[in-house]
Amino acid sequence: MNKSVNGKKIIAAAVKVILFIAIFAALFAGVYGLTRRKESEKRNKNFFAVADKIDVLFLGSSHVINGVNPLQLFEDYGIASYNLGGHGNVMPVTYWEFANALDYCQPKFVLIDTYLLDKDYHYLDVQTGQEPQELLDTAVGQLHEVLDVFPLTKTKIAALNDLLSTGKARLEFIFSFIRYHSRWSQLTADDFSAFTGDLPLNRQMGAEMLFEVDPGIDHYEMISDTRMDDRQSQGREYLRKIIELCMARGIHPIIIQVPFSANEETQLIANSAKLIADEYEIPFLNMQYLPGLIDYHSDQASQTHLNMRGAYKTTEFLGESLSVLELPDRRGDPEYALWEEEVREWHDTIREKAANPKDLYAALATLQYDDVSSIVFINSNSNAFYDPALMDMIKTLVGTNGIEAVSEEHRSYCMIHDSKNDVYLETGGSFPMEDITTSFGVVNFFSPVPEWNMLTLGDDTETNLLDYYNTSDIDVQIFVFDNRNSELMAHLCFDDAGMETVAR
Amino acid sequence: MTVSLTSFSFFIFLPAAALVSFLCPSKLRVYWLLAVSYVFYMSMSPVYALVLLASTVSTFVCGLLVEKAGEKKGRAALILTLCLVFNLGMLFWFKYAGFALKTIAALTGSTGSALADRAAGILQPVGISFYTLQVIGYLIDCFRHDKPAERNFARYALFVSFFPQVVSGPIERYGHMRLQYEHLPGFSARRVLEGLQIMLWGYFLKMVLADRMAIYVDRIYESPERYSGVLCVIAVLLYSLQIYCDFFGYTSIAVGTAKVMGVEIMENFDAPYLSQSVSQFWRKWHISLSSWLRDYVYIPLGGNRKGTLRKYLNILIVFAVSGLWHGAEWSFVIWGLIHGAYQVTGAVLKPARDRLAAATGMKRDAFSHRVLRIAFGFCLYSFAWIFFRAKDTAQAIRMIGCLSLDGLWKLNDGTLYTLGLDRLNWQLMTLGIFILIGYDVMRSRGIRAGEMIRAQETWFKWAVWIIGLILVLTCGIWGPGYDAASFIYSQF
Repeated sequence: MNKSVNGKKIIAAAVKVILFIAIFAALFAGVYGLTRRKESEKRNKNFFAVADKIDVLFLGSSHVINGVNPLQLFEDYGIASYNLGGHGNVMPVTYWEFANALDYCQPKFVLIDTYLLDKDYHYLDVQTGQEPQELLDTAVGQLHEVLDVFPLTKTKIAALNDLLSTGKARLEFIFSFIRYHSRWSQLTADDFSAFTGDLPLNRQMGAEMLFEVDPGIDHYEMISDTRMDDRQSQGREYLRKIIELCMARGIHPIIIQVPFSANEETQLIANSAKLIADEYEIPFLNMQYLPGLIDYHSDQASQTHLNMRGAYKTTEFLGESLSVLELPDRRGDPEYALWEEEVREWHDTIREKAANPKDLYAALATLQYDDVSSIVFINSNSNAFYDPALMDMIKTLVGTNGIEAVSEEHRSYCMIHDSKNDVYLETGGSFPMEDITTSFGVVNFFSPVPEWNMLTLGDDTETNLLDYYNTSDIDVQIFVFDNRNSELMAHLCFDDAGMETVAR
Repeated sequence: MTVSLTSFSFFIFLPAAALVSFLCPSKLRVYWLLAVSYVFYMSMSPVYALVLLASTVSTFVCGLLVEKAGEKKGRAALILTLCLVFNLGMLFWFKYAGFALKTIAALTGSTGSALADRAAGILQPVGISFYTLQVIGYLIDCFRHDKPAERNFARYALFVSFFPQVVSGPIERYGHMRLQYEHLPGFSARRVLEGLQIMLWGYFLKMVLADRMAIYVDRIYESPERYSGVLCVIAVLLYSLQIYCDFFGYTSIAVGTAKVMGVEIMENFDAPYLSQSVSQFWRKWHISLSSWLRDYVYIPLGGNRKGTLRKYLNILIVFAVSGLWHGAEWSFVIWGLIHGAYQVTGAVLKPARDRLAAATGMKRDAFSHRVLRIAFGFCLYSFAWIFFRAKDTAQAIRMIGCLSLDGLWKLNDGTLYTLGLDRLNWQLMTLGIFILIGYDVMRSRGIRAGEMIRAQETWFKWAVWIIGLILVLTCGIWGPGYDAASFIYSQF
């Protein structure tokens, strides 16, 4: 009798313990999911959706992320590629990201960017021993962004063992709550959307196109591309390992250097990658030396990163280069529907950015895309005429030096850009543009009185689209039209004090 | 791998130690606990386990010799003195040699600072201040024939090294522990759960409150001149709560851990900040140290039996010793003396205060009056804590110089949220402080929050457990950059 009572008590206690643990575990899992950092998942979750279809894989640091657009490669060349660059990726991290990726994909070509080639340290959490703790924390945070999305496998454990110095440091990559539980006070809508399964993922096949223009970057003289040095570093060692891994897996490696305004030391390091390329008899595409490829006034988002204009040119060059390699054209193949879908999304993004630019530079940079048409108006005596970067951007957009003549005569300037019909027209001051037929309607531009311009659209020839009344300091006005329906999407106004958007 | 009460490894160490202990035959349990206590200690301080052992062996043997000396007082006193010299000598060497040499060098203007620096560089064995007082207390009890000397070395060694308390106390008395170590109990679900509940409370105090407060306090103390006066005032007040949460948290973890292992150790705090006077505060703050100093320093000095002036002098001496025990810096001595001065001043002014209260019809038992006394007391303790927190006297004086109500608007313009803790963190901390106040108020009225929770329905108990666990795990300050061994009192 006693035994039976004791037995029941033990069973009841065991059930209570199990139930308690189950409730706790469920709630804890919820908190874990909420506080987990989502950057890695946001960046590369789609990689797993397309991994087995990737023909070309891009590796490297943020230079590649911002400098190569797989959607352009697909749309213009039919190349199914993925941009697996990682923010701050040094070569050892790139190697291990690639090794982990190979568990899921078998690309035909791998293009490896060589920025950070000469970082000569192995463990990210130690580096050279001279870095401040914040820098080490940033490097570990960036490694989270690269590795968190990969399931725990032997390859991932090998990566952690190789990249981090202690078991304690590695543990947080297996149980990230160790580091990220403190995010409880910084949770955003994204953290909660991860619960519902609608976390906003990267829609550019791993790339991140920047829609900003930094016109003030430093420029450097180019050194000869034959200047190199053959010093050894961890970075070079790991570049060799990447190449050897490619070769072992029957993949063709290509070394690239995404262009940007690099200083002498950085140029030298980039040039030196050729030594390794020669060692393995593989191609090296050093885009720093392609004449006129990058306009440093308008194609960079920061000192070392390309914007979407620069990325467009770089990607175009890579597309041309890759197209001679007889890669299959995947356009129209239902298996590659996700690329098609992302291309459509990309064009939506362009239109959205064109209608909501950060500043005048970004606005002009976005107008190069065929998704939008535009009318650009600059007031007489505007500061814009004294801004070489702006002048360059308009000259590039129109393909003439017309604005310079207008600028010299201190007249107002108007440019009509009908990208749907590939028409560019420009005028200055009192020279009218009458009854110009465009995809978005008939445009009239004229000057009824000096210092006063009139811009009309369509049948309404009475309403001046130019805003002279609502704000007094408007310098530049841009009308953006959606090429899908030819409707006016935005009327952007910029003042002369830095070309910021004026609230209207 | 270091095992400390807030390290990951402790959560492997404790269940393993407890499980084996419960499975052990009862006679072997003491040996097992002794073994795990040494493993615990050696994980932090392997070499200095020899110091712990030396202290244990010397006092164990001397305890027996003192007892054997019986009525031969002179012989017993000689043995006691030699053993005290040996143990206090070790404490002095490891903790005070650098301080003493520096002080001498400063006083004489000599160039012995290199030697002083070397002496200051000597690493202090973990917990030496605590276990030295514990063994001295035992030895004096033997000498006074208050308690018989222990004949079982393992039991005595466990008393000195018991892992939950060896690092930072409480400073136990052998009379309280002897019977427990003779009959170490096996598994009891109720006791284990009680112990775990106390531990959880301790982790909440330490990781959610104390370490969160430390982020702000450390920032301000680092360079108080950079911040407006009101922010410094907040840092000073917050430090009073930080050290309470830190030490009370540690003690709760230690008490809870000991309970899990079947041992009841004394509690160290009894709602000290709700005290009505400084003397009451010291009966409720770090009780094991206060009572030790009372029994082994204050009373032997004559206590209050040798006249009022001598009593005041004794109080000042005891508090100076208390300060010096906490740290080898003059700022600690000043902290102790400030508390001594508070008490002496309070005693001297008591007749005048009584007369004033009677003359004005002051209702000293009224709630509002008691709250005022508590608030006034809190300000006094907070002022004294400045010398405790500052790295030296000069920094304490700098901090005092920065205190003002200048920059009151900083409380409202968001500045407060830029000093290491964002708005949500401040809100969580404030909520935690209210929970602590509620706990202490209940305690001061004889209500034990733990018992009250245990008396509730299962769903309520589970809710408290689960919320507590998730709160500590999520909102606790831990992970990369966190030093698991950094309890404030562990440095003493």
